[in-house]
Amino acid sequence: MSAVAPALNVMRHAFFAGVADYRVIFTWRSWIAGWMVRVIAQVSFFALIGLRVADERLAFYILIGNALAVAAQAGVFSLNMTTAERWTGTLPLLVASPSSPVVVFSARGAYLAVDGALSALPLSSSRGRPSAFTCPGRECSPLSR
Amino acid sequence: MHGFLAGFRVELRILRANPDAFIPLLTAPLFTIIFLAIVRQGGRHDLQPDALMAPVLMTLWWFALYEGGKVVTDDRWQGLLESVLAAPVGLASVILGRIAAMMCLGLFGFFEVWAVGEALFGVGIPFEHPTALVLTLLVTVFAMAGTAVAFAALFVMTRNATTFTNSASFPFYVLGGIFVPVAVLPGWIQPVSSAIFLSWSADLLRASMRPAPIHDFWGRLGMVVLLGCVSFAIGRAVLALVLRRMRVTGELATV
Repeated sequence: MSAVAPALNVMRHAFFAGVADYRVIFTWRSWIAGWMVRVIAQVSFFALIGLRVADERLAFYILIGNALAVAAQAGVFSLNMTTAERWTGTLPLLVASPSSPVVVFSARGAYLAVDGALSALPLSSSRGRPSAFTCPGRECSPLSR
Repeated sequence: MHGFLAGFRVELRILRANPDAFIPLLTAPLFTIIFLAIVRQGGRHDLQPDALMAPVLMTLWWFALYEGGKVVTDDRWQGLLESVLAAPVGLASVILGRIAAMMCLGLFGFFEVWAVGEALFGVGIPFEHPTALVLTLLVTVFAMAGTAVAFAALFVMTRNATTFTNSASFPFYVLGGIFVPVAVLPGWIQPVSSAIFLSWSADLLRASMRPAPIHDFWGRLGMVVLLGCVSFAIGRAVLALVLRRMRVTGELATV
């Protein structure tokens, strides 16, 4: 128990350090108007390809793939953390500290799992209906085929 | 012109020492595989040329946005901006030269995508209208460079340019119709797309790979040039504004 408590404490601080990092990169406004717009555009881009190439079935297949990709993509950003620590000169301090870097980095990047899940959320709104991405009142097929 | 050439040469040296800049050339083959796999799975072999051209445009856009966009910001952070400004040539022409070097590197994406298509899927680029294709590519590179100058000027004003670079990729791929024609997008978006040179470039590139004659080629090519010039003019004006503000506030260097 005595070994777990300090580790949990380190994890808590590391998590909030990660959140603080993220808040420097994004404000709520820039997250919604920037990142979310990009995510929705990414999904629309691939869904439109699916609709142009075949039908709603293929578009839905690509949509699900993209939902997973978007969620995973956010997680991949955590890979930058070690490099970022090195550039900012804090990596030696972290290595010299009695805490395990594995504990620190995993907790510090945990917010990215939340971010990934939130980013993939708009995709769930289509609920298997990629027609949400078709052009309203417009027939796509004749123009694209 | 001296500034342009000097910027071009300097950027080639910087690129040689900065392998990170080559990342778009690593992702281009992957996107080629994804797009070709999708169209072949859907049995739409007629869309294979479109699947090849989309990664070419994505590669060029990436160079313009990620590499071109941070030119001024990087110089500022490294404390080089004062020296560049003190030189007897215009900053905009130096930047344009540097970005042109990046864009030339981006053109390798075309050959790379072509090679991947041939090697893995046996699909080549159909040169139905070779002159039109080459002209469109060159004009697209020009417009990309002009747009990158605008990005470079705008990003230097932001607190964190990464936020914008991360966000400005796929929205422009959709609005620019790089794979799916703009005509397929909802009607209210189409006027926005018309103001983006990518939509004109993508349409022309697709048309130059089809056997049918290209309708109003010169007019559409002229639109790409015009929109590229407008972007460059905006970038130049914003840059002048930003630099004037920096001189007043004494924030030329952020070190």
